[in-house]
Amino acid sequence: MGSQAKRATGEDPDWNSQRLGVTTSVSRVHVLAEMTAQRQVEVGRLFIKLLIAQWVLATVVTLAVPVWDRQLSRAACLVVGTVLAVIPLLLLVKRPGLAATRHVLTVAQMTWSALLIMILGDHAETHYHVFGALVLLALYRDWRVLPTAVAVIALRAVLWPVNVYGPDWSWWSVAEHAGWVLFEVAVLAFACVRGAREMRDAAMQLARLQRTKTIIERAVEDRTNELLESAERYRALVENTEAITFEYDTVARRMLYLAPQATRLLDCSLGDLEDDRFLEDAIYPNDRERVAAQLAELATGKRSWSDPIDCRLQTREGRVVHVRTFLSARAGSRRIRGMTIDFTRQRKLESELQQSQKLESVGRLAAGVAHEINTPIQFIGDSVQFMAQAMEDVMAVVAQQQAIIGALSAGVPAAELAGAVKDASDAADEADLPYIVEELPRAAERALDGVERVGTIVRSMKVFAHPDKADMAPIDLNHAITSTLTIARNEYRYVASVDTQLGALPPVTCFAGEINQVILNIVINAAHAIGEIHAQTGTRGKICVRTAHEGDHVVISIRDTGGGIPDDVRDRIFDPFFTTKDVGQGTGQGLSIARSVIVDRHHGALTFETTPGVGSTFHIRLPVRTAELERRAAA
Amino acid sequence: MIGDKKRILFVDDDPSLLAGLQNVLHRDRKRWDMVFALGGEAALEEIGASRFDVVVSDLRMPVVDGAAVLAVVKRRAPDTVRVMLSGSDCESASGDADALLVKPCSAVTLRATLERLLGG
Repeated sequence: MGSQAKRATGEDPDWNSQRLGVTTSVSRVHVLAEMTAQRQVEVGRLFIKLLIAQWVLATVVTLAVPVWDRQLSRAACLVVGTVLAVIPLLLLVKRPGLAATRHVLTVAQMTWSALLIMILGDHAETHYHVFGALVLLALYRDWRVLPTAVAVIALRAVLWPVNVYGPDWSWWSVAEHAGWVLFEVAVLAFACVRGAREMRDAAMQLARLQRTKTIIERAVEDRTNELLESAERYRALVENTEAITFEYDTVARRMLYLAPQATRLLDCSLGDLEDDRFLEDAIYPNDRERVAAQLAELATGKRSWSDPIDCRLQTREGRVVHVRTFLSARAGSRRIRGMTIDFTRQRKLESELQQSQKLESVGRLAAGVAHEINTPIQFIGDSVQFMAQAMEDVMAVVAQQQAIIGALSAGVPAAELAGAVKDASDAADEADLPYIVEELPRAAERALDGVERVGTIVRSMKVFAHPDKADMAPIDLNHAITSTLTIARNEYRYVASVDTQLGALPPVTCFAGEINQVILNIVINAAHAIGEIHAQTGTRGKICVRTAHEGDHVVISIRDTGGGIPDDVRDRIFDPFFTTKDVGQGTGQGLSIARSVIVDRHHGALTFETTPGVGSTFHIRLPVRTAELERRAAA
Repeated sequence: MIGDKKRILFVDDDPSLLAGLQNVLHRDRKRWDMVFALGGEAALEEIGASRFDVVVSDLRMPVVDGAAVLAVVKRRAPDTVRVMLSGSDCESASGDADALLVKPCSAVTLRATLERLLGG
């Protein structure tokens, strides 16, 4: 359809003539016939005027001549003249294109010459009527009338020589007359043939022009239909999908076009869509500053057009929907075009997925945390148990000693108490009093230390699990990192030591639970990477966690001495469900969610460097100014 | 008298845990000769130096873990009773152990288990 339409624009004449092969010849013949007919009508009209003029002239002259001494009578002349005028006139009016009409006209005109010559009294000049009539007849461009004319002239010369040559005719004058007539007829015949050929050529040209015109008209019609169809198709595409397209004038701050299905997204009427104020207010209040800032960043080139802008909208009915908008603009244009999709379901799934990933890591952490807690519980129990036993033993010894002291002070002789003293001494030996004296304080200290250890782990769990809030809150990131490392300790401590270099950081406004989750995922990955090396070589690795404040960002770097990330998977590590771990070891969600949390939720950056055999470093960059944004939004 | 004492080696990577065990089992000092090794490497040294009736080891330890310690014990002294004292009940990793104790484990349970294993 498309290619045909393109070809029909007349770029390819061969194809055109091929396509219109039959119509071409028909149309040329048709055009020629039309031109011929038109010419015949035009020439016919000329002859109608001429015949009438001739008849009037002849009649006037016939009636005006005072003395009538012609070969025919006055009445005969009037009758013949009238017949010679009426018959061709009738034919010219009724059948202007008929060949017979032309021949009858020719015969009539030739006869008129004879009649006029006679009426005007054999004037030599009147003979020019013959030549003039021949020229006019030649206007038909039909050479066939010429033989008819010649035949009439010849017949006249034979039957009525006086009329042709005058009273004193000679063979010389016959030859001269015949010569002129034949010469003129030859010239006219030539002119007729040429004229006919030209007319044919002209007809051909005209036919071609008409054909081209038809083709162009048809092409224009095709294109118009196509355009209409295409416009309809695009309208259907634009207005029958869930994606909402729009065009916005950034200077006038006006919507130039907004797909009508936006009414469904915003629970509003079509009229509301015309209201720019309503549309601006539809953006969720907490998101307005950020959206404005992101639009400004697009304009200054700080933000790529390929990054969609996410925000929440509040509908007329107060529903909150998450939308994602893809934008584009032509360079230098104040208009931006975009497409907005309802993202609520995905956002919900995303948060569910995040939740399930969190549960997954909490599940695996629980075992580690239990182990971490069980050791101090074990020695707290042992120490307290020891203290209780020691107390019991000491109390027994003291009781015996008290009994001896009581007996002595009551005046019992020492000799009688020898047995009791030996028992007391044995009990003291059994209890190992020096050991108890030395160990009791240590056991107490150990028990307290154990309680502190358990307390730290439990507090860290609480910090880590930070109840997720719908909005961001400022947190001490270093504290969050320390807590996360504490609860993840069981994941790494058998294969790696952790080195922390935590710089002074301002409070960072973020979703604390999500950030902890990201740090945990990266630390666990680091521990696993080191664990693989450890399993092969037995060497312990190192995980370095650094934080730094850089301008309006904070940077968290987590470096490991694992095996690094192989070249072939480097591009895919942030893909959802991508994992190099065995089935059951990980869902492949960790880094994908980490990226979504850092990039989408916090507008930060998550990058990594890796050297095979040396290790990897992950950098989390978070904007500090989100805190300001939140404050401003709240204000 | 000394020669009749049963010898027990306790292995853990946490000094507090060993100290707690030592405290609570102090009253058994006369029947049991107890050695406390901090970590798998120290345990291997002890095992290399003398023989024990029972080895009680933690499972998860850096460098040389409990499974490795018990594997060495099994190879060098098959008669020695091997006990795993673990923070989590991961029986799959305790293939070489004759008994499994789960932390936290009370002194009573520990003592009873040891008595049973040593035949009273």
